[in-house]
Amino acid sequence: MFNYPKGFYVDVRIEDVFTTRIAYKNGELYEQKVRSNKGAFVRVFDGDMWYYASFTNLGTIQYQIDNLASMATPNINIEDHPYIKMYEVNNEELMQYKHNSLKDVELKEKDTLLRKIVDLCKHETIKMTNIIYVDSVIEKEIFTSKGTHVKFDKQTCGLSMGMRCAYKENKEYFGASNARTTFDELKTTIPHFEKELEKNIDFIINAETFEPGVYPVLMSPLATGVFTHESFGHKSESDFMVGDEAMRKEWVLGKKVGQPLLNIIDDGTVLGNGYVPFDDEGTKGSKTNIITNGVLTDRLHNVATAAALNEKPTGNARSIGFEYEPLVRMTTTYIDKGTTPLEDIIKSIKYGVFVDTISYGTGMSTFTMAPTRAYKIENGKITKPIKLSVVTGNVFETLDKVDAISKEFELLSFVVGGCGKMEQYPCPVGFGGPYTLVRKLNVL
Amino acid sequence: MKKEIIQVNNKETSVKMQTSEIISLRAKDIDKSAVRVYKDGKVGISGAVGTSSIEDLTAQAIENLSSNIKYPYELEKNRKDHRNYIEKQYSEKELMDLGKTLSDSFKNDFDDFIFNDSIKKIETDFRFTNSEGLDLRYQDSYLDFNFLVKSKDSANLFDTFSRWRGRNFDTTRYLSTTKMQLDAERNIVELPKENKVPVFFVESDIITDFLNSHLSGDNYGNETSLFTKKIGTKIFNDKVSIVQNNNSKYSYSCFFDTEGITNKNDVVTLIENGVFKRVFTDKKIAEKFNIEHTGSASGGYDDVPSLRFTNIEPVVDSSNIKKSLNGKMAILVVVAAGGSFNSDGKFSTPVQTSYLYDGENLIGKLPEFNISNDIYNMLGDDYIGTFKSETLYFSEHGYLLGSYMNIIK
Repeated sequence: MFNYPKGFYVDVRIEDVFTTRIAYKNGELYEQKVRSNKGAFVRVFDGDMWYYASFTNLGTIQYQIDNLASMATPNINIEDHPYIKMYEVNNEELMQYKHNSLKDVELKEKDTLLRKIVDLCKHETIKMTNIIYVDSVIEKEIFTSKGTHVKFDKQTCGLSMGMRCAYKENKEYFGASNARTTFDELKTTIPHFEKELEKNIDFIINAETFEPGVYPVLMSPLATGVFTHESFGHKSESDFMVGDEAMRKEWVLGKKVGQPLLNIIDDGTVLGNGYVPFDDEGTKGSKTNIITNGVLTDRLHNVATAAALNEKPTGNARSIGFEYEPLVRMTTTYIDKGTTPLEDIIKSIKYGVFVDTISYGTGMSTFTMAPTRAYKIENGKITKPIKLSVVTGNVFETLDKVDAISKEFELLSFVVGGCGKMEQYPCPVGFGGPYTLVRKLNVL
Repeated sequence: MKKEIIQVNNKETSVKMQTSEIISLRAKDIDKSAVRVYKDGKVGISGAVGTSSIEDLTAQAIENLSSNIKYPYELEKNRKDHRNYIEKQYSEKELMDLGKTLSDSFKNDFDDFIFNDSIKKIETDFRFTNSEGLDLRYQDSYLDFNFLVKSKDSANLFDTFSRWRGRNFDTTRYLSTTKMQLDAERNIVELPKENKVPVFFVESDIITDFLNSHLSGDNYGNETSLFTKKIGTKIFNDKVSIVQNNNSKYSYSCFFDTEGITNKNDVVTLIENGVFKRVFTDKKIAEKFNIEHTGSASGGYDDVPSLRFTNIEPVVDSSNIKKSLNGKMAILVVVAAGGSFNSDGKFSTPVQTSYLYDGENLIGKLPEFNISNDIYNMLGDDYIGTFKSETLYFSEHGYLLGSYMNIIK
C-alpha cells in the first residue's frame, strides 16, 4: 500500500468519521448538522524520536511519510528496537455495522426521537433546555511497516437532556445523557429521561442547604464511575510511570491499595464509548484487571510503555481523532459489582449523604466531584434533597474506606463530554459500576 | 440568497517532552470551511474538514435549508477588517531548538523534577466573508506551553504546572519564574494561621466561568442568573470592572464574534466599578429579551451562531501586590481542581497546589486545603484587586486576581 522508507518504523491511521448532531434550545431547533470528515495521522520512529503528521488531504500520505522520514535519522537496527519487536501484527477486517449503520437512519427519524425528549421538558421550574441527539460512525484503517493492516468500525448514538431550573432561591443546571450502539436500542431509553426529569423537578423545589462536614457517602453508579475514572483510572495509565522511579515504586504490582472487596477493571471489548477492537497502534483491545481483591494486578499500556516497563501491551493507545497521536487512555473502566443489596447498604447508614448525579469530577492525590443531585440519608432512608458544592477525599484513604459495594451494577455511556488528558479532550470512555459506600468523605 | 463563507486554516507544531526529554515532533495542517445560506428567515449550513469546494458546500447548505432552522436577523455588511497579530514566526527548527534549550535547563537546573507535556506553536488564519460586503480576517501565531511538573520523589501524577502563552517568549524570564516556583516547591511551609487569608488566582477560570454563566443574556432573560433583575444596581466592590474583551492581542482568538460583529475597541463593559451594566448577548437573545446587543455569538466554524461563552475578564485595577498586602502573607493558587459555585453563588474548592506568596516572590509550598467564600464577598468586601502579573511570568498578558478567602484546613 505504501512505500515505507528503510531504517524507520512507520504507521498510518486513516479515519472516516460520520457524525450527526441535532439540537433544540428552549424547544426550538437550532442545530441540525451532518458531517463526514476524513483525515490521517502518520507516525515515523527512528529509535530515538517520533515524528508525527496529521492532515486532511489523503492524497499526500506517501509524501507525509517521506517528509517525516527526511527529518528523522535512519536506523539500520530499527527492527531490533524493543518497541518494534513488541508491536503486534494483525490483519483483520471487523466491520460490524455495515448492515445496521447509523448513517442509514433517516435524519427525520433521529429528529422524531429527539423531539420526544424536547416535549417532555415542560414544567414551571424548567427555565431553559438544551436537548441534543449525537451520533458517530467511525471507520478506521491502520497500516504499519511491520505488516499490520486492520480495518474496523465503531458507532454510538445518544441523547442528552440539559435543563436549567429555578424555584424560589434554588437554581441548578441538570444534565442527563444516554448512549447506545444502535438506534433501536436508543429508542428504549426514553423512560430513563422521564425519571430524570421527575427527580430534577423534585430536587429544585425541595433542595435544602446542608451543613458541611465529614459524612458517610453513598455513591450512585454514575458517581462511582467518575470516582473510579478520575481518582484511580488515570493513575493506572502507565505513561506516567515511564522514567519515573518514584511512580514505579508507588504503583508496584502486588501492592495492596484497597479493601479486599475492591476490583477495578478496564475493558476495551465492551461495546459503547470505550469500545476498542484495535487501539490506534493496531494492538487488539483487551480486558485488564487493574485491581483484584484490593491488590494492584495490572495497568494500562501502549507498546512503548509496555516495553519500557517490561510488561505486555493492553490495547490502550487511543487518540481523540486523526489530529492527534495515541496516548495511554482508559476504555470502559469500572469497579466490579459486589454482593450486598443496595437496600441493605442504605439501611446501614444512620446519617450520611447519597450522591446521585454529578456535573464533573477531578482526581489527583485528592479527588473531587461536584454533585448536582444529592440527598440526605437519615436512619437508613434516603430523605431530603440537599445542595452541595463539592465532595472530596484523598484517593488512597478513600479506596481504603470503601465499606460496601452493591450487587446492583450499571455501565454508562454518554454522548457529551468525555475524558481529558493533556491537550486531548474529549475522549469517549465508558464507566459506571455499582453503588459504593465510603465511610468518610469531606462534604462541602 | 445571502451567503456567508468561513475558511479556517490551523497549523500547529508541537514538541513533546516526557521526563524532560524531547520524544516527538508533530506537525498539523488542518483546513476547515463552511458556508451559511439565508433564505426566508432560515439558515442552512454546510461544513467540511479538508479541502472542499465552496460550490459543493453551498449546494449542501441550500439543501440544509430544509431543516427549517430560524435565523431572521440582518447580516453584517460593507466592512473590511483584516488584522494580523503575528509578531514572530517560529520555524520547526527554531521550535525544536527552543525545546532543546528548555529540556537542557530542566535536566540540568531542575534535575530533581520531571517535566511532561509540550510546547506548541499555534498558527491561525480565519476568514469570514459574506455576500453583503463583510470581509473579516484574523491571523495569528503564538506559543503555548503546558508542562506537568513533578518531583522525582513524588508518587503524584504531577505536583505543579508550568505554563506560558504569548507571542514573544523570553526564555530567561520564564526560567527565572520556573526557578522561583520550583525553589518554593522544595520548601514545604505551613498554612497561615488566620481563618481568612489573601488568596491570588492566576487568570482565574473558576471565577470567569461562573461570570460567563451568570452574565449571559440567555440566563438573565430566563431568570436563571444569580444576578437576575439587578442590572443598574451595585453588586460588587467599587474597584471591580468586568469586560468582554475580544481584543485578539489578549484573547488569542478572533476579534469578531460568529455573526461577524466587532465592538468599539473590541471591549464591552459588563460590570463597571461594581455596578452591573449589561449582560452579553447575540442577535437572537438581544431581540428575544429586548436587551442590548453585545456581539457575543460563538460556536464552531460550521455551527449556527448562538450564545454560549464569551471572553470575560476582570479589568486590571491595581498595582503593586506587595504593597496591597501591607506585610501580610498571601496564597498563590496554581491548581484548585474540582471546586464549584453552587446555585446561591457560594463557592468552595480543594486547593491541590499553592504557594505562600509575599506579593513578589513565591516563598514555599503549602499543604492541600480547602477554600470557600461567595461571589458577592469575593468580588465585594473581600476583594483585593486585579493586578498585572509582573514578577511571575506565566504568560505575556497575564493577571492575578486577589481576594480574601476562608481557609478550611
